[in-house]
Amino acid sequence: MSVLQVRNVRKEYGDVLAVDDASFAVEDGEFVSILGPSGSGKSTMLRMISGFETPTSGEILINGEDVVGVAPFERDTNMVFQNLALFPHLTVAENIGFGLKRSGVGKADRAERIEEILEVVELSGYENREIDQLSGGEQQRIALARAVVNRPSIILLDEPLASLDRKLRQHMKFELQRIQEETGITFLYVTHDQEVAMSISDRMVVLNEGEIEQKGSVQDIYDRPATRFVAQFMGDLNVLAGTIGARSNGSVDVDVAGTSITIPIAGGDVGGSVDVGVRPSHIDLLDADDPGGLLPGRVLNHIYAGDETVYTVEVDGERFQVETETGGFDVGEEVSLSWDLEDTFLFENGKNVALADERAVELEG
Amino acid sequence: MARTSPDSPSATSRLRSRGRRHVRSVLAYLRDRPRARISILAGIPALVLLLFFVLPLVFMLWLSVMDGMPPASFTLDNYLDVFTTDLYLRVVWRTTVLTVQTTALVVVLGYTLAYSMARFSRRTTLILLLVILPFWTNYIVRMYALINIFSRNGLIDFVQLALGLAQEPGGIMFTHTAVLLGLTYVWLPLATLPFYASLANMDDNLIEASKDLGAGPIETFLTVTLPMTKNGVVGGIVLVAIPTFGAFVTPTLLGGTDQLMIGMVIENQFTESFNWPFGSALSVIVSAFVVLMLLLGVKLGAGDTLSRRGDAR
Amino acid sequence: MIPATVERFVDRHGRRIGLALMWSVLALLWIPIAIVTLMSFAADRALAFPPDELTLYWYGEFLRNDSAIEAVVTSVQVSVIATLITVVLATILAYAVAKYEFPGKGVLQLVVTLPIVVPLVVVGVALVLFFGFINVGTGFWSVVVSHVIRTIPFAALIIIPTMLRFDENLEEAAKDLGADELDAFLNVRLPNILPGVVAGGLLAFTISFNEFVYTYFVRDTATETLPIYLWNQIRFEASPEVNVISVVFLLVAIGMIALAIAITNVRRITLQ
Repeated sequence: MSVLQVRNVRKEYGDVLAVDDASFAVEDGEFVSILGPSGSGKSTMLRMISGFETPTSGEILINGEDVVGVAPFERDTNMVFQNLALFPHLTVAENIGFGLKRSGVGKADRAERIEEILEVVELSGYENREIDQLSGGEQQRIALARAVVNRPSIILLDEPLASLDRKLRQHMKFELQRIQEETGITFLYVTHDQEVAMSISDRMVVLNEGEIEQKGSVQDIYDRPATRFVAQFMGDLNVLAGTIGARSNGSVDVDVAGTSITIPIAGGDVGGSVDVGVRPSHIDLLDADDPGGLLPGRVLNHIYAGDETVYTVEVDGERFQVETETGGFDVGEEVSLSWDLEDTFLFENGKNVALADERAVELEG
Repeated sequence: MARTSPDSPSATSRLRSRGRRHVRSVLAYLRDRPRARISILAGIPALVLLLFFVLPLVFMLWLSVMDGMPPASFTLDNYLDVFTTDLYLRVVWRTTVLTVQTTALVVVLGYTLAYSMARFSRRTTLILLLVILPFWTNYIVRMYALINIFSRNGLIDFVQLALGLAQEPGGIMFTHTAVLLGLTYVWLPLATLPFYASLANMDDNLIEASKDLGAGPIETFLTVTLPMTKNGVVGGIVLVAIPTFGAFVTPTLLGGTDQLMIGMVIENQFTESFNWPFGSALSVIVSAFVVLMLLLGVKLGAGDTLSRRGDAR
Repeated sequence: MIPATVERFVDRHGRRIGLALMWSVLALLWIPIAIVTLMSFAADRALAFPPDELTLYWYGEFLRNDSAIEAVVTSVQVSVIATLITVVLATILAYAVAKYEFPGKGVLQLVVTLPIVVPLVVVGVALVLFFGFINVGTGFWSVVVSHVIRTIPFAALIIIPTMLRFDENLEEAAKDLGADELDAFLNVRLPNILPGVVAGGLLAFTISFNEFVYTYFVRDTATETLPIYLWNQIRFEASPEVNVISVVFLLVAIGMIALAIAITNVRRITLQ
């Protein structure tokens, strides 16, 4: 039985549809991220799971029981708020012990558990400190401790690292991962930062405008994005519009940028409009007359970054980003772009053509 | 920077230019004398306040320890009279009781009002205006409105008779209740403001965090909201207790001689008994209460800000 | 501690209960005012509720009543003069506080707010005693002075922050362009602080117009302001005409607030 099951949840605010028919599950001990841009409905989703919003329709099952309509103070969930919401009038220990006290844990037990959790978050001895005496990173860890100490079925984190500076964020994300592994509690993490989500999650759910675009492992989502949106959200992507010229067994010829590229993907209709996508890190720059080149281009700009240089190359009227070894191509120079065709994405109506078969199986199965 | 020429014909422009020359010479004189400048600027309002506020109060303090109008000799009899005469002790007691009751009632009603305004209502500016407007109407008018309601055959009687709570119309004028309700009615709008300010400043997320950790709405209110808005509550209490203790218009109009408060006795000393030193002593006692309340207020409210645990920012 | 059923009930219905309570308290605040307005139209002298007959008779009586009209005139005279003095004093004080440091600055700012805190009876009594002692006595000007003391803290509480918000650079720019101190004050500073000064003035006028306690002590029989007239009517006669006067006060209050809102709106419009 999954710890959390969201089934066909829908949330409307008057005319606005915030979440449309979302379904996913979180298993015991997992670290799952809900990823999406602002306005995608991810915060709404979290608030429905924690009990501060009620879905218009659908079910939310925690340990098999539907909790829709159950008040937040009666749910077995605990949240780490985006602005932390630590009680300024209470000490660190009183903050952490707040939930324990409400559950009826005795004074001695409370003190012991508070001490334990402070050790886990590496802030031993902080029991009697005042909240406003703590640094940003320390407050983060206390907010986390306050939620974790109650050992709920699932911990919900609402973009807790958003307000931290870059260095602290890098450090804290691994702290989160470590604490999750040490305590074994299920974490559901909501963010718009795909870099953080990718580095610490087991699985991800990608949301866009209230709909789930894809759910699966980090590897899956990055290497086999279900839609163009997911591909572009997970990392930089260069896209060119083209048309399918011909199909053969296991590959398609796509007419793009005045030439034809043969991509090893089985799918798509002849004559159909498609988007061809390549990641900047996969592209190499060759001399303009090099026979290994796939597409012609002209260098517009380059930014030196040590071992690598990021080139902005004009290709068929579009601007391509290319991350490659520092090669000595100058601004204005004509070049040729080349990449491993296996790394090409092909999208028809926004959907990844390579996964069309799986979708068909899903619909039937 | 041209000025009107001195040989222009009209008399007014000649006056104007002479006036301007005077002004310019004054400004030039003051420009290099910052101390003179500041003495005049700050000095004028300071002088007015000193002459017509501080000095009269000091004079009254001095008079309270005299045995008559000057020339007179020092005595503490005025104060002793208050604390040894049964009548006056009862007045002080009744004033204290009414102050405590009024403050309690205002806090309960005002805080409830402010809480709903801060948490549940969306049209806060309109509601704020509705709360404040009665305070800007004339004090006596509001008392007269209550007289209308409390009098025999007024609204209270109407309701009581309609509900069968009373057989005969009698009104509630000149009762303890009437004065209590009157004082509450006067100060409720004012006290609501600091309650509302501290509630509105509180971080809403704290309430959600508390519920998330298992505390229901009532428990959240008691353990989070109330402690966090303590400063506003103290402010409101001080704002009500001080004028209520020295009240004289409301108890006179609604309570009459049956409900004597210190303020009424003071007024009586000046308009009828003409025992001014004694009246002064009573006034000093009321002032002492005011100072006490202010100190308490600072200690319980602002004191927290000093130890960095005040109301949520 | 608190049973779960109770908490659940409050969670579900708390908002509705809270709003109901809020409107109830607001109603309690406004019912007396509504009743006074209603009763000002009551035909019967005896203040019976509800009134049997409605009429404008008492409004007519009020307008025909010489002493009532005279009281209005006196009130307006006192309040206008006192407001002007208060605003000038408060503005000078604000100027000093905003521009300069001087010994006793904090004390001065504290003392200017004291009249709000000290009970009205105490100050009223102190004033009449003092005026008697220095042989100034009671009368029109004593009343004006007492009104100045009563209103200056409120005017200062508004005008001082307004002055502090004024950008001193503007005055320096004016001087750089050739204006002397008075010129700069009149043509640069004053226009910019005018909304605050006007707001302070309106507040002062409202408080002075409604002022009763100080006036009660320092007046003489020739100086009867409207609140004093009202008081005498209530204590010794209690005719429904009193309700009419109450409505007059209400209208003045509403008028002042409308004026304040109109001025701030007009300012916003003219600035754009």
